[in-house]
Amino acid sequence: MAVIKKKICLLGSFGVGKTSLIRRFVLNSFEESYLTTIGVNISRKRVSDSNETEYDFLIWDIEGHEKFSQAIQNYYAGSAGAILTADLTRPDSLTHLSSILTRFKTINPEASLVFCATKSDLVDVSAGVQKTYTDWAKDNKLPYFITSAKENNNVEESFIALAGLL
Amino acid sequence: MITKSTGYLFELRDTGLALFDENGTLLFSNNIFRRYCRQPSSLLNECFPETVGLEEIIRKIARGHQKTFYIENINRPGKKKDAVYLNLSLHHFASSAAQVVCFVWEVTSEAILKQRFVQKENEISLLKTRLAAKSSEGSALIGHSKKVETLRTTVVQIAQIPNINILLRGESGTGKNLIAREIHTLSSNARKPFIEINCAAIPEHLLESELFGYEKGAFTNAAASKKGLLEEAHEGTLFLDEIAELPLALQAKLLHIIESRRFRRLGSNREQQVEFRLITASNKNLQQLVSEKKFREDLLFRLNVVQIELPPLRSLEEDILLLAEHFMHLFNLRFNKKAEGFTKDARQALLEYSWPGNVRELSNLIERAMIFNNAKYIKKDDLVFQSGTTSDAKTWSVPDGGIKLEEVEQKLLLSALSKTNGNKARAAQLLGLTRDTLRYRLEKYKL
Repeated sequence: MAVIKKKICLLGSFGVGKTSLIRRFVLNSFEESYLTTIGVNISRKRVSDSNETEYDFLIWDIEGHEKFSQAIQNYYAGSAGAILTADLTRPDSLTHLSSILTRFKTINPEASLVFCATKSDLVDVSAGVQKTYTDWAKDNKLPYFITSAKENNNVEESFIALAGLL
Repeated sequence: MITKSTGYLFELRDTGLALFDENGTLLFSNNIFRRYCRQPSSLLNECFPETVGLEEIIRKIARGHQKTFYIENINRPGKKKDAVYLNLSLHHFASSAAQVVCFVWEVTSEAILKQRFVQKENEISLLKTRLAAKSSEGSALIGHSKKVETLRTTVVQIAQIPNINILLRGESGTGKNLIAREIHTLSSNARKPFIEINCAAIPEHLLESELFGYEKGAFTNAAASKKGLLEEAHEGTLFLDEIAELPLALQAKLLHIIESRRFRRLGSNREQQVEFRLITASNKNLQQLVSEKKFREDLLFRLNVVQIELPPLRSLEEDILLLAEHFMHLFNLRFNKKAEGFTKDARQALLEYSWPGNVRELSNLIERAMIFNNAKYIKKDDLVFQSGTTSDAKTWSVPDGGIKLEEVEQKLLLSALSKTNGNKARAAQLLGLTRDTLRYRLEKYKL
């Protein structure tokens, strides 16, 4: 069976853990130190969905830009899907994500989307504040995962869920 | 026509050059282009996987329907683990066939400079957020007791409702300002201003100009126009703490603003529109102030759309220990200490104390205990309670010479009144009595 190449973007504010999610998914590793991504860094990994369709994911780790410049529009171009990320310890990252989502949809209206709340290892998952994230996912009709790259929680599941939507 | 010599000329400018057909099949490339390829291939999307998904755009460029497309700062692993940054641009190549010319050049120095700058900027932002999270902000929402769970749910729900008026009620030190800030932080206006005014802290004659702002020449010292805090709060949150202290004249003006969402700067005829979430707070019984004609009933009605009651610390049981640990971690960071917890005695003392000053008192207590203490565990002796003792009856005993119960009762009544500046309702609360019982006992002892 032919492998289908798909461009996938990781979207979200700076420091929410996009690079860590990718590193965990692709290399099964985690680094505590924070290194800001400049521009775009592409990783590859093969993913199968529940129908055993095999995808060659080209995962775009895009810098957490606030401005919607032409360069950012070009990064988004041609994406089949995206994983939207917001940091559970920083509610402001969810506010930014709403505008990022709107922009992404203007470039890729048909793209499949999954929402990941990141860094669950740093918060009390039973706390009510997570309702904000759940509600945001519901409002935007997105599959929702509470993830931790550090503890390898729901990372692969998020990517596989996205593959299932493509 | 692109030839080998054209490719060589671009090599002299450290630029990779390649020509592709409309399907992204390689027709020509120079050495530098091949050096930057992710893998040797005759396909553009193999050489540069960054072009996967761009097939339609490449076709458009080849046919001249789109002039150009570029990707900035493509990260590539370089030698010695350092990243190499590349820019790639695609252009229509005017020839008889549909073709695309591709340029690639290195921008590592510029990208590294940018990386260093943005790294520092982002680190500062992240540290600020972390410090805020570890500071007293949010401490009003720490805990697992039913009261805190309910408060947390209420705060989250209310934060989602835009521009609703909220009245926070609770004893002094229960964290009303923290709850106000939390509501703002969780709202969709979190990035807009949060303006906090303590109505008791600003002299009455300055409060109006602070709130409404003024035009140049509005009064003797108005040398220049100034925005008021109402304007500053536009689209964000205006938090009026100790609202009971707002003078009656300003209460009328505030009511007008709440109803019309319009106001005038002092000395101006022009009305301005403002939108904000209004949060007010008071530790006084506003309904009683209304009956005493010290607070406008219509204003109270407007402010009290949603009322949140903040529980006193003494009612939070085991959450007191969670909060104490929260402050211990905070002061560990602030004072560079390594305290790990509290001894059993200290924990018991924290649970038994009556906490008249609530969370603020707890924070001060832990701060005091940690300033001069480097021990791993905070002991009971390190905790200097405001009242000098844990006020739990279990730790009291009758002196050997005996004691007159009525004298003790009188002293307790006087102490409670003194602690609350004569506020009988609060004094009754501190003693666990109803106001009527307190009044009866004061009359009984002619106090």
